[in-house]
Amino acid sequence: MTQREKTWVLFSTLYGIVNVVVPFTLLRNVGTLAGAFLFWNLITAAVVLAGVWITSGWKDRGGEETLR
Amino acid sequence: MSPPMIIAGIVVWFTAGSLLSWHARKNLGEGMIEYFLADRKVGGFISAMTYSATTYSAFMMVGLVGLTYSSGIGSLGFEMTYLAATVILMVIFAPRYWAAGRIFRLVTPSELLARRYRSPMAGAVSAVLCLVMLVPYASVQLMGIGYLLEVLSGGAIPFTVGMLIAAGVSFVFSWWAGLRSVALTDALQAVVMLVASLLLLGFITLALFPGGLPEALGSRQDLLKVSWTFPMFLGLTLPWAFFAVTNPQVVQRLYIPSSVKNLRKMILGFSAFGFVYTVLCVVFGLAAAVKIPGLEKADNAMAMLLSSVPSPLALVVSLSITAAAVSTMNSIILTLSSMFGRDVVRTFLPDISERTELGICRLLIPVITVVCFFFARMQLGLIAVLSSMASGGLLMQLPTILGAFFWKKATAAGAVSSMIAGGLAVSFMYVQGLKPLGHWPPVWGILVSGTVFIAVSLATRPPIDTEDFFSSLEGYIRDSFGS
Repeated sequence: MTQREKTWVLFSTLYGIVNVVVPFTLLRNVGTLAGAFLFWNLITAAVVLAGVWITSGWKDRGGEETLR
Repeated sequence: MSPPMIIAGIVVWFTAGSLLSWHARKNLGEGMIEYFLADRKVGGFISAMTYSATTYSAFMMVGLVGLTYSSGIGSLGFEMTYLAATVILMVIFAPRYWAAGRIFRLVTPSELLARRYRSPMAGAVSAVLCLVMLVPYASVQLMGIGYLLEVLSGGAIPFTVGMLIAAGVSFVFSWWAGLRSVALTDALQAVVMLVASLLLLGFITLALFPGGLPEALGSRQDLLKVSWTFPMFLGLTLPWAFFAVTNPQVVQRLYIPSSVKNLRKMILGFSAFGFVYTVLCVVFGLAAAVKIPGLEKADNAMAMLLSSVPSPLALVVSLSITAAAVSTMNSIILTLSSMFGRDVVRTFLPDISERTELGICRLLIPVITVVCFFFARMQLGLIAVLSSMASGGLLMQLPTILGAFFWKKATAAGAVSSMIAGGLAVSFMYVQGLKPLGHWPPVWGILVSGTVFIAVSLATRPPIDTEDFFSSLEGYIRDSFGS
């Protein structure tokens, strides 16, 4: 595993904990869209954006495409 | 909705898909890698769309909408956790599968296990596990279309006829040109799924809730509170969280992008598609709960919601649900046929030519389609159990997959015994309806599978060329990905 991948695993572990703890404790009884609905949208968006960042370092050797 | 209108819509959709399949057929070459992986030369957009359409089945617009309708916002947490976990796993595993596919000329996910553990039996056990678990899952897709068309046509299109239509379309799209036709028709179907959902959102926002959905939800605050128990959340989420590495129909797609750039486009394209589609489906569930409360059967929420919208829009959304089911079904059929040929038949007949192997695999496409059709037609209560345990059963491959890439002491005996022990444990608990200490079968199954894998691996010897496997994989990844 590269250093970048190890950072990714650490980030993912942190995500896994926060993703469950916050909605099941702090936001459990918040009955508005600003509660768990917003939280789960934001934390997932954060993972997606982090995915954009972590894969930005992938080099490309190119390759022939026949199905576009 | 009138039956002629539904039939006309299906004919238009099938014609468009058939034209794409015919176009794909023109570029079809020879051999297993060509037929099942489009020669590993698929562009980024098509890769992303076929991955999305394969992943997201009719469950989203029927099951997830119903789950949100009945249990509120917990379903968003469940589905978003699945999406985030898939992105996380793809970043780690996609480069490894992509590289291993090229180095070892792999066709199926199980073949990677056979190669890594130097054990055709490890590949065969994984393939059989997938066959057992995925046939019921594919059958449920057929049943979903059968019910949907029957309800929408007011009974004019009977359940069996609806299933026949879906099975026929799935067969044509997958058999005609293998992955080339499946990938192109998947892309078409993914676009239909997304556009139809956006149109429905537009209508709901403008016509059904002119004051705004947030304001309407003020009267249903219960839906926005997390009412799920933690064991329920864990039991449902755990198997799905690892879907990206345990379900062969999506893992096989990691072999197909033509370049690293297109592999990245696949991951990011799927992430964007999944995010938007998930939010839309949950919003539909919330809208249905506010607009039409008190339904006895939550899975009817989408059908009832569609009865409140104009017929043309309802038709487009219905076709998008059918497309979601067919795109999942044909991908499963294609992958299972390749696994049966490569991982099961070749284990027992290692000297057959590639031409014969491909012939057997292609013969299996109609066979698996027919098996799924008759399985679905039986409408057994057992199908519901089997399909719900599909993701849990496939999860039992997880220790073997992790060991393949990250643990040099992992052995073939550990892999085979953990998949069998875990598969049996999960099946037994599902069939008996057991939830020890309140936790669902996959939680206990993965403990059994993981423990057996570690214990047996430590007691046996790893393959002699383990070091070579790891060094060639790491070298290829370093050269290709620059990391």
